[in-house]
This record gives sequence, structure tokens and C-alpha cells, in this order.
Amino acid sequence: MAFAVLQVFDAPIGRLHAALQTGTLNDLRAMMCFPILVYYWICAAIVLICALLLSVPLLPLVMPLMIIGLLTSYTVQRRPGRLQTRLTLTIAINATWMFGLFVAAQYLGGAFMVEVHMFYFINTAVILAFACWRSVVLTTAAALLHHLVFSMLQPGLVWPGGNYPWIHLFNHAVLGVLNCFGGCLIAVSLKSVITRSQTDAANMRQISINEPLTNLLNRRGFFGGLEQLYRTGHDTARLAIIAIDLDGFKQINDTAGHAVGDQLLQKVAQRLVELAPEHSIVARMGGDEFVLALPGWDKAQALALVEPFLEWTRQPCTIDGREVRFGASIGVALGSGAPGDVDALLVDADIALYAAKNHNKNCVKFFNTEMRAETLSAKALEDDVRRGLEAGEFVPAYQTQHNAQTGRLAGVEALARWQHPERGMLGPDAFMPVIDAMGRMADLDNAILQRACADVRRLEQAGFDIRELSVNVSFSRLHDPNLKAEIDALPAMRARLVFEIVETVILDEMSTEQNMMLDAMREKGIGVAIDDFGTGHASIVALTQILPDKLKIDRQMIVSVTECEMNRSVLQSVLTMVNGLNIETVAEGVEFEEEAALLAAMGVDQLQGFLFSRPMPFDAFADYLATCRSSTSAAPQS
Amino acid sequence: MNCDTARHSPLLADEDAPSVAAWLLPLIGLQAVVLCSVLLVMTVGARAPNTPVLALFPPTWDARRSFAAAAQAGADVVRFGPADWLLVVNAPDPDFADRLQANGAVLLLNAAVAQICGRRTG
Repeated sequence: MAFAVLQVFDAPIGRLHAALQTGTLNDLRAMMCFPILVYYWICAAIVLICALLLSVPLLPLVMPLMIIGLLTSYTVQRRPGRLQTRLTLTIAINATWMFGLFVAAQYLGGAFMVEVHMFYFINTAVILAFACWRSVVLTTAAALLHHLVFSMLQPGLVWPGGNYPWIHLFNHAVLGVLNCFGGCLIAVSLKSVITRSQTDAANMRQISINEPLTNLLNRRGFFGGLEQLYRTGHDTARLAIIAIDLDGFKQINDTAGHAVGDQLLQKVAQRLVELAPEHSIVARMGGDEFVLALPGWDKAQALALVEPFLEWTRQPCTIDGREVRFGASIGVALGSGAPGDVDALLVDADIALYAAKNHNKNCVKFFNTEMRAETLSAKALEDDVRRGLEAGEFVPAYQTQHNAQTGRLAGVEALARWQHPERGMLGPDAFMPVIDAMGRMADLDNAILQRACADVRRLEQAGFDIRELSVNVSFSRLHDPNLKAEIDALPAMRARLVFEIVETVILDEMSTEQNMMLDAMREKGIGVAIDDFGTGHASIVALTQILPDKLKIDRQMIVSVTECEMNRSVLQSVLTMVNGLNIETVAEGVEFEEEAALLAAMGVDQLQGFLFSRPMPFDAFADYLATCRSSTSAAPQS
Repeated sequence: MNCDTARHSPLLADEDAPSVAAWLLPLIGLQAVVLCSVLLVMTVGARAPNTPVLALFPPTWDARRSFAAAAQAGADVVRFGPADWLLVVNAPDPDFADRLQANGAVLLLNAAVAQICGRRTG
């Protein structure tokens, strides 16, 4: 089974931490071995120089000190920092004062022997650099052993003065014990501080590469894991990247709650870890997106992993007693795993994932070059739309609405158009899906609203009576707290403002907050219209709850009304019902005189369509109004 | 990755727990150093005349050979040491130490050691 974080670590996180702590402490100890070795050689040199100056035989000193020094140097070079090396160094530096005693013993009958073995205390301080209490204890043990032997053989050298040997003994015992315990305490504290600091650093590092919910690697950890694969010599000439995105995860979060969503992510992570082979990387890149990196894998192997996972996602998953259904879209990219190519491979996997999402979802797509071209094109369009929004290239086009009985102008609908600098005037099909996907619908709505209100105000100043200005408002904007402020900032105009809400959303499920927003708009004198009625999801109950001012009947219900008796009956029923609710009706897409006459006869209040006018830019609309004013047949109220 | 140190440092395998192998050599070294140091210090004063001296002959020597070597150097044998190759002798003059070493003594230790070691000849 694959390890949850990264197979190449070959160790659980806890062990990894311990290794890091030990490693860093040992690094410090290894580093300190060299200055302490230098200290040994300096002390040995001092002993020899003193011996030389005092005419003490050199040979008995040079030989043991050289042997000890060379052996210790060899040990330090071979295994710096290890316990055996530390203890060897401890013995070595204590040997210097032991041999120093030989020099002192020959000078004034050993009068300075006490001073020489004071080096024991200095050595204890030096050895603290190892942060190793065992070295401190060994220093004390060396001194005690040395004293013990001398106490038996020649106490006069150890306890000079002779009159108060017990005071000397007590003095040595107290100082030695204090020194030993103090040294041990300092060594243990030092080690503890270093260990804690390293643990904190290791924890921080672990947090920075892990994401806590699923215990998988995060994006940073993913790339770190790849580097690890390179270093450990795995077959990265071929690399399969599998990008996974859960389908319907947002709905689960919204309906079942985030706690259930989190548990689902954990189950998915666990399943991926179970399926992933050794020496693979499983990461959660964010949200409900997971990525697997499989070194040395080909298409067949990747498919063999992905298919069982997809099959697993198709089964209902029980979380907290609730049955949760979800799916997964999967994109796979195969290619070179060379360090410079991984980023591109990840992008390719994302492109394939995007293609799987756009396909039927809950499927797997392998990356190919056509996908890249499509994605690049879509990306270019997104960039273009973004630029167009910033440059104010989205402008309203106006289509008139007429009284069904008199044919007179009853209002105008502002429709979004893109005045593209290269491609000319573009209709909504060219940009609406992209803007929706980009989440910039509010920006578009607001741009059209502002511009249309300003245009209508200009027309009113020119003496035209527009009566009503209808503007499309996306359903999501009813959540937008800025909407009220934007409405308040609109230029004043005589025409009544009507917000058209598309019926494709589920109007039955409107929240209290959205209903309150509609009420607030009505209080400001803004009408509410339901657009494209007949093609969406609004129920009769929803109509009675929302009670719009206007209902715009979609062209699909209009188009065959003159020919099909059944459609006519359906439309008549709708009109009867709507009229009963005192809601105005507008027929969209009226193109023929017969349609207009029939709809008027059936009781439709207003008509809109190519029969009267096509959507036109502001200047053309102004000309249209001027022409109508001069004409008696369709004169606007001016 | 944070396991770099773990994977590449030669120190990682170091065990902080005590082990016999880690302690054994340093402890042997400590004893050797202490012994060496004590022996060295004990040589101080071993050349003073009219003081007992512990003469160390090669360990392969028997008592007869050690005794003969001491006698040949003009020393008075005071006691036999705990081993055949150890003798406590009295130094009659300052050159005695050189003569004894010329006759095979490896090391001469001072009176303090000489008092502890050995048994009376009778």
C-alpha cells in the first residue's frame, strides 16, 4: 500500500522528525568535534613545552600524547559526532592534564599538581559543547579514577599539604559532584533546547508541505516529492501525472455541510493512497483537486489505476449515516519527468481534466495536442473578455417593446453586445458562457446597466419618452450586497427600470435573502420581470410567491402558435393564469404580422421581436426613435 | 524536502542510546591513560639514593633472573614483588638506576609504590 504522504520517504512522519532532530544535533556534535580536537592538541603542546622548559624527560610524554592524539584524530575524521567519538575525545582531553601531572610532579615536589588537575573543570566546560551528559560523566569518572589510584599509591601527591587531607577530600568531592551534576544539567538542557528548536522547525516544515485535512502533500510538497524522486534515482524518464477533480463536491458541501465534504475528501485521499503504488506521490493541490505522480508509468498502467478509482467513485459513499453520491473527472498526461518538464506535464494533465469536465464528467481523458489548442484558444478568449470588460467594450444594444394593441413603443430592452475592436459587434453567444465561467457576470450586468441608464437619460434629455428600460440581471446578483448601492448610484431617469431575471434558474428555491432583495428593488420602483418563461424551472407556486411585474414568454412558445392548435391552447392557458395574477405579459421573438395579431388577440400585453426592431446600438436606436416620432404610424410618446 | 538531511547525512544512523560498543573502547582507553599517567608519575623520585625502588623487569623473566640482574647492578634486594619480574631494591648511589636499567630493568618506580608492592624476602 502506498504511504499517505510520500512513498519515497519510506518512513512515517514521526520517524522522519526523529531523524531530523538527531541529524541536526549530531551535525552540531560533529561540528564541535574539530575545535575540541584542536583544543586537545593545544593542551598536549602546552604540556610538552612545559616539560621542555623544566627539563622533564620528553619521550615518556611525547609517545602517549602522540598516540592518543593520532587515534582521536582518526576517530574524529572517520565518525565525527558519534557517541564513541565524543567519549574518545573526552578521554583525550583529560589525558592532557593527567600527563601534565608528570611534569608538575617533577617540579617542586608536585606542588602544582592541584592546579594542573583543575583542568578537569575546564574540560567539563569544554565538553559541554557536545550537549552530551555522558561526556560530562566520563570526565568526572576519569578524574575520580585517577584520584582513586593516586590516593592508594601516593596520597601525598593528591592531597598536598598533608595536614587536612579530609578537607581536601571533601572539597574535591563537593566540587566534583557539583561540577558533574551542573555539567549534566547544562548538557541535557542544551540538548533539549536544540531538540525542541529542531522539532519546531521540522514541524513547521512538515506543515508547509502537508495539508492537514487529508495528510497528503500539498502543492509545495508535491514538487518536493518529485525532487526526492529525482535524487533517489527513480525512473523519471517517463512520468504519468493524474489530475483528479471531484464532480458534485460543491453541491455536497452546500447541501450536506462542510463536515461531510471534509470527510469525503479524507475518504478519497485514503482510497487514492490505497491505489497508488510505492514510490508514487499523492497530493491534494487544493479544494477537491488531487494529483498523482507515477514515475515510470505508461498509459495502460495509468488506466489500470484510474478505472478502479472511477468505479469506486460511482458507488454511493456513506458518511455520518448519510449516503453521498459523487463522481470524479480525471485528466492524465504522460511525458518526460525531467525537472523542467514537470510543470508542463501538470498543465497538460489539467487540460485533460478540463476536457473531462467539459465532456460528460465522471470520466477520464488522456491529454493530446488538440486539447492544448482548444484550451489555449479558450484562455485567449478569457483574456480578451477580461480586457474588453476593462476597456468598456461591452455596450448595450436596444430592442424595442411595443404595446400589442396599439403598436406604440412600450419600452426597450438593453441587450449586452461586445464591440470588439477586431471582430466587430459580437452577440451574447460569443462571450456569455466565458463570462459566466469566469464569474464576471456581475461586472457585465453592471456595465450594461450603467451604460443603458446613461443612454436613456440622454434620450430623455433629447425629448424622447422611453417609458421602460429592461435590463438583464443574473440570478446570482440577487445575493450581491453591492447591488443596492449600484442601483442608488444610477443616473436619474423618467423611464421605469425593470430587471429581467432569467428563468433558467430554479426560482422555486429562492432564498429569503433573494426575496428580500426583490422587495428592496420594488421599493425603489424597479420592476421585476421573469425572462424566457416557458423554458426554465419556474413553477406556478414560484410565480405566486415572486409575483413579478412582467412575464416574458420565450420565443419557443411563440414560434408555432399560428400553426399548432395545441401550442396555442398551452399559451392561452398560461396567459389566462398570468392575467389572473395581474402580471403583464411580453411575447418575445415576434417576427410576423400574423403572430403579432394572434398574440394581441389572445391577450398578450406587449410584443418584442424582429417584426418591430432588431437589437441596435445607441445611435441607431436614437435614429429609430427620431424616425418614429416623425412618423404617425408608430409614433413614440414624445 | 525536509528529509534531505535524513537521507544524505552520514550522521543520521547515529544512535543516541548508549551501546556497549560505543562505551567499550573509550573506557579501555581511559584505563590505559590513567595507568600510563600513574606509572609516569610514579617514576618521579625513583632515582633518589637510599630509597626503596620498585624495579620492573621484562614480564617473561623468572625470579632468579630478576634477582641476578639486581645483584649484578649492586642493589640490595629488599622484597620480592607480587610477580617474579618485580623486585623492591634499595638504591645505594645515584648511578644505580642507570646500572639497573642497563641490566634489563624496564622501569623504576618510586618509594611510594615500592612500599605497597611486594613481600619481604625474609
